[in-house]
This record gives sequence, structure tokens and C-alpha cells, in this order.
Amino acid sequence: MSVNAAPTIIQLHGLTKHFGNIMALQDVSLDVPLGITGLLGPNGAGKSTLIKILLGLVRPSSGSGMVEGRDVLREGKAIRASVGFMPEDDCYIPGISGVEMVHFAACLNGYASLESLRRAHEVLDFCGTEEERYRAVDTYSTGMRQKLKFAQALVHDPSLLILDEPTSGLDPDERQIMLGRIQGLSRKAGMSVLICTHILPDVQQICDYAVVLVDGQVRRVDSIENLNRPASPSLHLRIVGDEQKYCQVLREAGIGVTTDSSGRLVVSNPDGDLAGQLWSLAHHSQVGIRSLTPARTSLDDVFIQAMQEGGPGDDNA
Amino acid sequence: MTMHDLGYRSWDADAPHQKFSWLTISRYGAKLAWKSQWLKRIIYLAFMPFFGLLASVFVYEQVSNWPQLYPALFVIVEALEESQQDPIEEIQQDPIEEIQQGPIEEIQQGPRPEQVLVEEDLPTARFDPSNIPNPEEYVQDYVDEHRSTIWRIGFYTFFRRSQGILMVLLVGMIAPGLISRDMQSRAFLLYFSRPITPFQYLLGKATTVWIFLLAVTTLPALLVYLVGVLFSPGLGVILNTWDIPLRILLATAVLTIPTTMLALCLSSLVNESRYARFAWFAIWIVGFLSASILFTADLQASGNYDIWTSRWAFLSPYHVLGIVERWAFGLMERPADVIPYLAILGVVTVVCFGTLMRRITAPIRV
Repeated sequence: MSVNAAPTIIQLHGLTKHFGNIMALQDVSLDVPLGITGLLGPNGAGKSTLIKILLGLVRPSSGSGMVEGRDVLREGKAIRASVGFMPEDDCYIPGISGVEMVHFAACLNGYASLESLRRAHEVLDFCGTEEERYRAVDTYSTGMRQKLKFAQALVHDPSLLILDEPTSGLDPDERQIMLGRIQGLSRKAGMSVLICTHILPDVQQICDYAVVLVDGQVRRVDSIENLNRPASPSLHLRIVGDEQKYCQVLREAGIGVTTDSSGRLVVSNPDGDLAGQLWSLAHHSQVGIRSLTPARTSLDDVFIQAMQEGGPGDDNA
Repeated sequence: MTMHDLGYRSWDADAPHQKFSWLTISRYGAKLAWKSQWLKRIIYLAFMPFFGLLASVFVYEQVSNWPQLYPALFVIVEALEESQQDPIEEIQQDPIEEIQQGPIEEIQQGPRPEQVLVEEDLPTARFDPSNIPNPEEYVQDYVDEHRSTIWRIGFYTFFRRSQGILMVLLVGMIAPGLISRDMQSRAFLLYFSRPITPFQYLLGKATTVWIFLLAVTTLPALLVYLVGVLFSPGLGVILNTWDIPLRILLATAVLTIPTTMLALCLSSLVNESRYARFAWFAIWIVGFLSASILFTADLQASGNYDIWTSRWAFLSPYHVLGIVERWAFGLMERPADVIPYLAILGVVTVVCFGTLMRRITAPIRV
């Protein structure tokens, strides 16, 4: 599945991975464009397995994949040299300081020690880590560890950044700052970012595209703009008066009525002037219209719908 | 915002050291290990035998200048050579053949240096210079003749006795935390999301241990060899002892590779280093005690008084290493006897390596 004809950074074709009888990924075909992409899915959906395959750490049972034009089956080391990965787990070496940790990560990529140290300080400055960089990482708070992991992922200036739950454990201010940094990396530095998260508002806020993975299958792939757009022209409606009676009148007039996750009425009618019909029927039913806005499907709804669908054949991407 | 934050900046640096980036793991591992005060104390302690060996080689090479040491020289050399003989072989040697060989050798080579000793009782043997025209030259010839053997015995004793025991302590302090700590802090993805293979990771961890082991065994031994050559009468000594540096390297490999693999394997099996440390010391202590107890039982039953030929030596890693090191320094009468012990070390190394690779790759396989 692909979003559009935009240049892609990840291409996967018929990727399947099973661990014994457990099917982690089923026939995943996916083209991820440049920009910021959110990878969504419930626990056990296969996100971690997919990331490990992208990094060339796990060999797929069948299928093929390319990351930045490199084969995930044969060029794992080269992929890992140019991709930055921020794991969800703490992943630190007890006893060393924050700056040593980032320096260590740069040296593991093969950079010279002195140059790596300079770069480590530069990246820590960017990540907002101040004097605490000289403290042992064991003493860091969750938020500080998140920033440190982010710095490690960035230190070798990757062209693709894979972030696993980058904002978990951050306070609201820090979360906004982190999202701003990620957005800046994509917009200003031209870095592509794949964010794996459960926090849908984060995806809504900064992602250009989203992939919904459920039970090892890709259920949705599209731009956030398209995912937010309802299947047919719809309006969000709030009224004053007898809601049940008004809904009944609308249905009798052939207008579809549903309620979204926030309790608002979503009305749709593919044919005709929907707004005019609503005003007219409201007048006849003796109810007042408090608000009438173009409907947008929230990512929560997209996610829930994708979860409820049976398989890739049902998706509308 | 930090004071120096200039926003994100790209980095165009080359990564020339990718093939050797595993050395970063060793460097940081050694740096962390060196923070332990106990480790520092053991390392300092580990250099004491080095000075002992250095002094011994120096005295041996300069003994011809000190006539008062001549008698002691003969006694010590005899005792050292005696200590390395295989008693079983000695018992099995045909005494008639020995008697027959004696006079022929004397006719061909002249009187043997040992014959100038008054052979009453070895510990009280006295050097009698009255029937030697030039004792200094005679002693120098004796030193030259026995140099290779004496040096090999010296280095073997250094590796086997002092550094062998210190190795157990050092590895027991450094290795158990190397992998278990990474498992506990789930740092595997930190390593493997970089261009590092599981084998390079293992190599990096093993090198951390080797840095310390080489610092207290191989480097001092090679330094002693160099000093020995410099203090000897001429550089011709190298022709006589050229094999010793190679034997030192072989003994180093015997001492370091299987032990490091075993210690790292134990470290990879648990999340807490204290369990791996306990298992490491338990293997050495229990092995040593079991072999010693069974050896004592054998001694009482069959009179086999040599631990080297005891069938229970294989139970003790310390004895197995000792036997193979003895072979490495060319002190075994029957080199073929080492094969079962080499096989034990080989099997331990291969099994531990296999287990390690499996344990290291386990977190990234799923």
C-alpha cells in the first residue's frame, strides 16, 4: 500500500514474519514516503517486529524490503549506519554519564573519538540537556532518559529516524518541545521520521502520514489529511431540543445520522444541499441548531475502525 | 534552551573506524571496570610476581659475576628441573639402559656439570671449584646450557602459580557484569541498532577482559624476556630462546580464551552479575577441591603421587589449565598427554561461545 506517488524512504513487499505458530506480520506491503509518518497499532500488532526488520536485525520469513534503497535482508549493517533508532526501553549503560553515553553511541558508528565528543555535546545542546549531561545516567529521570535516547539516535546525523514512543514519560511542556524538535528535524533538516506511538494526538499534531497496523496486517495507510476526511461529505451537528425526535426526522428524510466518539451528531447525505435540509427540518421539528461544522474523522475513530475491521481487504486506503 | 543550542546541524564527518567500532565497547568496559577500587588493588598486586620474575631472571643472567652464589645456582637449577620431571616416566625408564648410556655420554661430551657437585644429598649439595680451572667460565657455560629450560620454568611458574590465581580473581571481578548488566538495563538495542554485529559485541566484551589479563600476564612476561635478553652475555641468547615469546603467547591464549568465554557465558545466563560471579568462583573452588580430594584418595590407594597424571585433574579448571600451560612451555615429557585437556578447553570454549551467541541474539530475535 502506498500513500501517493511521493518519493519513498521505505518500501516493503509481501513481508511476512512468524515465530513458530505466532504470525507477527502477514503480507505487509507498504511504501512510506519522506516526511513524518506515524506507525500506530495496539500492543502485539507487530510494530516492534517491523522496526527490527527495518533495521535488519530480524530476518523476515518471506517478502522483501528496502530502507533508503538498501535491502533489509542483505544490507542491515549499512542501514543501521544511516538510521537513527530511539528504543522504547531505557537502554543505558549503568555508571557512565549522559555525554559519555552519546559519545559511546557515535563511536559505535565508527566516528573518531574526539570528533564524536564534540558532536555529542552539540546534539545534547539541541536536545535541551544541560549540566545533567555530566551525571551518571542511572540517576536520570524518565524524561531526561528520553532526551538522552533521542540524542543518541541523532548523534550520527541519520537520514531516517525511527522513534519508539518518543514522548512517553515527558511532562506536557517537554512533550510539546519534543514534538517541535521532531517536526523541525523533518521540516528544516530534511530528515524522515517514523514514529511508533500510542499517543494519537502526537501523530495528529506532527505527522504527515499514518500507518495503522493491527494483528500484523496493515489496515490503513494514508496522509493524515485523508484519514481525517470522512468517507462521504458530513457535518458535525449540535442541537438544542429533542435530539431523538430530530434524528428520527432526519433518517426519514434519507440523511444518515451517527454519533462520534465525543458524542456529537455526524450527519451525511451524499446527495443534495445537506445544510439547507438540516435547517429546514430543524425548523419543522422545533429544535435549534447550536453548531454546524464540516465533519473530520478523528484519528481515534480511524484507529478504532481499523481495529474492528477484519483484514486488509476491508480497508479503504 | 541550553546556552549553546544553535539548533540542529548536520554532520558530514567520515566514519573511518567502523570495522573496529567494537573497540569502543572494550574501551568503555575497561573504563567502567577501572572505577572499582578492588580491581585497582588486585592489578597492583598482580604486578608483584612480575618483579619477582624479573629479579630471578636478572640474578640468573648475572650469577657468573657472583661466586658466592655458584653453589646455590646448581642446587636451584637441579631442584627446578627435578620439579618438572614426570615421575611416572622416570619410574618407567629402564635403569640398565640409563647405566649403559652414562659412560658413552661422558666419553663424548666430557664430565657433566652436575658431576662437580658433591652429590650427597641434593638440598645440601656443595659446589667444589677446586677441580675446575676457570669456575666463572664453567658457570657461564652451565647457565647458557640451562637457560632455555630455566626461563621456561620461570615463565610457566609465573603463568601457572601467581597469575593463574590472580586471573581467577580478575576475571571474576570484571566479566560477570559485562553482559548481565546489559541484559538488566536492556541495552542490547543500544548496541544492535548501530552497525555492530553480535560477534563484534562479544569480541568487544571479551577484549575488555583481555585488556586486564594481558596487562598482568603477557606484557610483563614479554618485558621480562626482553630484560633477560638484555642482561644476558650476548644477543646470541635469542637463538637459544627464540621460542619463548611464542610460548608466552600460546600460554596467554590458553589462559585467556577459554576462561573469558566461560565467564562471559555465565554473565549472559543471568540478569544479576552477583549470580554469575558466584557461579564463576564456585566452579574454580569446587573443581579444585574435588580434584584434590580424589587425588588424595588415589594417592593412598595406588601411590600415584603426581597430580599432573591424576585421572581427576580434568575436574578442576585450575589443573586443566596448568597441564595445558605446562605443555605450552614445553615442559611435558609426553606432549601427547595434553590432548584430552586441550579437548576439554576446546569443548568449553565452543560450548560457551555457542551459548553466548544464542543468548546475545535472543533479545533481538523476538
